[in-house]
Amino acid sequence: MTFTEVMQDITSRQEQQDQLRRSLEEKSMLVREIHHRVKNNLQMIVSLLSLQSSHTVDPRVVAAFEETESRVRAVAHIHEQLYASDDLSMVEIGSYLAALARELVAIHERTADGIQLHIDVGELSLHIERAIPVGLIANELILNSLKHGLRSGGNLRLSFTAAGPNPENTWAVLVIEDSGPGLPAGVDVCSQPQSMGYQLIHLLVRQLRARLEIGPGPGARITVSFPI
Amino acid sequence: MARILIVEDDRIIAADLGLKVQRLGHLVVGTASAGEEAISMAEQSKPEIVLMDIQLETRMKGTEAAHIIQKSTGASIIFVTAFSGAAVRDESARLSAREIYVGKPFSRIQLEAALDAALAQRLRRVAAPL
Repeated sequence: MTFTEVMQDITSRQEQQDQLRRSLEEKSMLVREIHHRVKNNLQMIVSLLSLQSSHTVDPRVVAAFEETESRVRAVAHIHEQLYASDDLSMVEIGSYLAALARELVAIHERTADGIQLHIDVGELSLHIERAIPVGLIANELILNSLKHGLRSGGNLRLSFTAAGPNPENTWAVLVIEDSGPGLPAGVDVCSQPQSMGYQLIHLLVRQLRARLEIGPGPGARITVSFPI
Repeated sequence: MARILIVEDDRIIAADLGLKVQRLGHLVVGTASAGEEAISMAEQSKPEIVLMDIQLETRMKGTEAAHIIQKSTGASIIFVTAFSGAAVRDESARLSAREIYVGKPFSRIQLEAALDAALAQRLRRVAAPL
């Protein structure tokens, strides 16, 4: 191979690499744009729910609409995390859960007494398909604590670790506990068909192949462990 | 009660914003879907607060329209956008540090908090010595 041929080969490879890099950048930009559009579309769904709820004065119906809006916002935050991350399909779940808890407490604090939020989260990236059910479970449990356990203020603790009870496998553990009066005696979070929130938790726990445990108290303490 | 201009190209989201703003006791002085239209409406209606989306119907971005409106009317700007907070800060780097940001999808309480913050900011500006 002559010197000229070698130079042509190097130039050609360089061009191929440049084209590949441009194509990757373009793909990454398009995926970010999709996440942005998804968030906009989720806002439209929230707005539709909100406009519909304005046609009723029944506080239970209004509350049901607001809870649904909160669930849609929990999903939207996943897309916000993806939009900001380098890997456009993996979510840093610890920081997501922390941001979700802070937002829900901030919203609740506009209408309730002081709540002390304690957050202890480890680092773990989860695929969007796993991150969404984890986010929705956390959303339900935090809302439940805020609505029932912490009406007069108190402590809300959220912890998330990537080391679970089973030493052979890698599990993640999400714990949400509050200093309120605790769950009513005999309540089974996963089999209360009258509550949409509990029904959702039941479905999502099954989807994640997770375990759910209710602590003995005082206060409400719910642990969700799931294989990573 | 504050005079509020809504700038949002999605009519459903704009209607939701309008209803929420009215229920919070404020007056909606207009709804625009493009930056140029927003500038013209703001000059006529002199809003105290502008709820501004960033990606609008025409080429002009919400950040650019906000810059012009802020200069000509002194209105406080609340960006209501699906962009992340960091992206908005990059976009609005040319503006002053006065802008407030509400992420989409927003709740009534988040919007209320942003409006309260904008009104408090205006009060501080009025009270501040020249």
